Amino acid sequence: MLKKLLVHEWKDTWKLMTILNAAMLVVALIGVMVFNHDNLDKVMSAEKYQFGTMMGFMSYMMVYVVGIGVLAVVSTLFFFIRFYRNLYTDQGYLMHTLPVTSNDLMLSKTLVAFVWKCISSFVVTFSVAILIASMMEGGVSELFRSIGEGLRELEISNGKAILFILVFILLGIGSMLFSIMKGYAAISIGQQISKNKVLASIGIYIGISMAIQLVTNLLTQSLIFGMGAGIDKGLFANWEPTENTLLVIYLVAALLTLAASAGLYILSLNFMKNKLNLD
Amino acid sequence: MSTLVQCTNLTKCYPNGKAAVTDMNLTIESGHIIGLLGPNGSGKTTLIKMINGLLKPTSGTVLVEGLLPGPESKSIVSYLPERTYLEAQKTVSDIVDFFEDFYPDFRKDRALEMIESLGIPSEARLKTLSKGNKEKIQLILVMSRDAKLFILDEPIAGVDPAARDYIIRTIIQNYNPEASVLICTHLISDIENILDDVIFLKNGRIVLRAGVDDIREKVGKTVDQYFREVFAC
Repeated sequence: MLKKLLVHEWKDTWKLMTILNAAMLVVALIGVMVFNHDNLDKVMSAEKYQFGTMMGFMSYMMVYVVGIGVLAVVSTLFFFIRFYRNLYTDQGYLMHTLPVTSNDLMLSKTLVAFVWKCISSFVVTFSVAILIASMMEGGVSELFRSIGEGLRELEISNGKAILFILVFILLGIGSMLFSIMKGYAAISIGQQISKNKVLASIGIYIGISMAIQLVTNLLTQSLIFGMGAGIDKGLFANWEPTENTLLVIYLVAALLTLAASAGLYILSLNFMKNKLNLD
Repeated sequence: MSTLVQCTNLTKCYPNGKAAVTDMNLTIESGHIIGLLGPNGSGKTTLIKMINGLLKPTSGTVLVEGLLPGPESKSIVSYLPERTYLEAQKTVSDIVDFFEDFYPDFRKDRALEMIESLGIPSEARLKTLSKGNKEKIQLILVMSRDAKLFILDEPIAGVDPAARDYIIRTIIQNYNPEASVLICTHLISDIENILDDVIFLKNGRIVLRAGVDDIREKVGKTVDQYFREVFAC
């Protein structure tokens, strides 16, 4: 039944998400065609067009950055609203009486939202890459050369670079899942309130965000304080941070984010399974 | 006849402390059309929600064909809530496909035939349909299943008399004598002719469980008249 839920969830979400992602690519392609290296070179060498070109370029960049923000906000809101409407309003009477488990319902919503977040992240990364590459004299090859140079400057060895990429992917997956689960958990808890469920969910969402921020700050401060105390006592006299230190920090952050996402998933599922409160 | 629903000492209290259903013992056998009747706040919808697994009992148990409410019990219950639970953006054909996908006992041909007889195009979006037609579509979907238990919550409320007749006709035509139908309504006079039994609920408790013919014979009144007498304010 999970497969069927996934198919229907996909059918109900692909249109809007495809339009949003396609729009983002179109904006990037316009930038590639108008502000590529050859065009910029030609215009900038003719002095009289310099100001207009700069203004046009800045306006475009503003639209482009706002576009990335709109894609992120609208797609996130779209999945939150869909989750709420589909499971906790009148439509919930159909969804919760289907011969499926609560876990199937939750998993289908989470997986489809996650896949779309991955696609959007890829689209944004790809659009940024083609935009930057088009502005460079050597194009894509120059972009890759610059990235390699940057990594060398950070003194990250080839073998470690792959590990860093893997850890960053893990961190990205954790962050995307966390952003989805934060909303789903807030909505699932918020529906317990008899009136103003949406407002309650927004309040809980803000509350969860603040709590996570607080925990992160406390952990960071404890780490800094602990390190400071250690340095005072001469514990780190012969210790120097290396690339491994960074790798471990990112790995811990990724694992914590994944654990927090799993915690919010279980919490949401528990509310859906045991405390369903349809009007 | 087999037992379809078995409620044992079933109680549901809401967080505000109000008991919507109190220590209820109820058995529903197959092969009956039963009216679940009672004034507002008597616990009808709460009971229905518990049978459908939409609410967890505070204490006691509800079993559907011996199963606790869950995916297996939901596959044999066809439920019509008192709300429009279909996505307005979807077309009639989308919704029919959705039911076909999730309910192995759904008879698509039967559903499409009934929808066609109403003159509703299958490509019409639900948001373009009138309230009455939306309710008819929902009822058609629910009654097009070969379920063992049909639970209809206020199936004829808020529609005109002609639509009521259509809905009642649909229920009768699609009724499988081996299944049971539990109908919850305030419009007793409209449906009492199709009922076999009635259950009167008051303040979360069963105050009467009787056959419709018994009420007519022993009390000498219609169910509607008797209900008004029992629940007179």
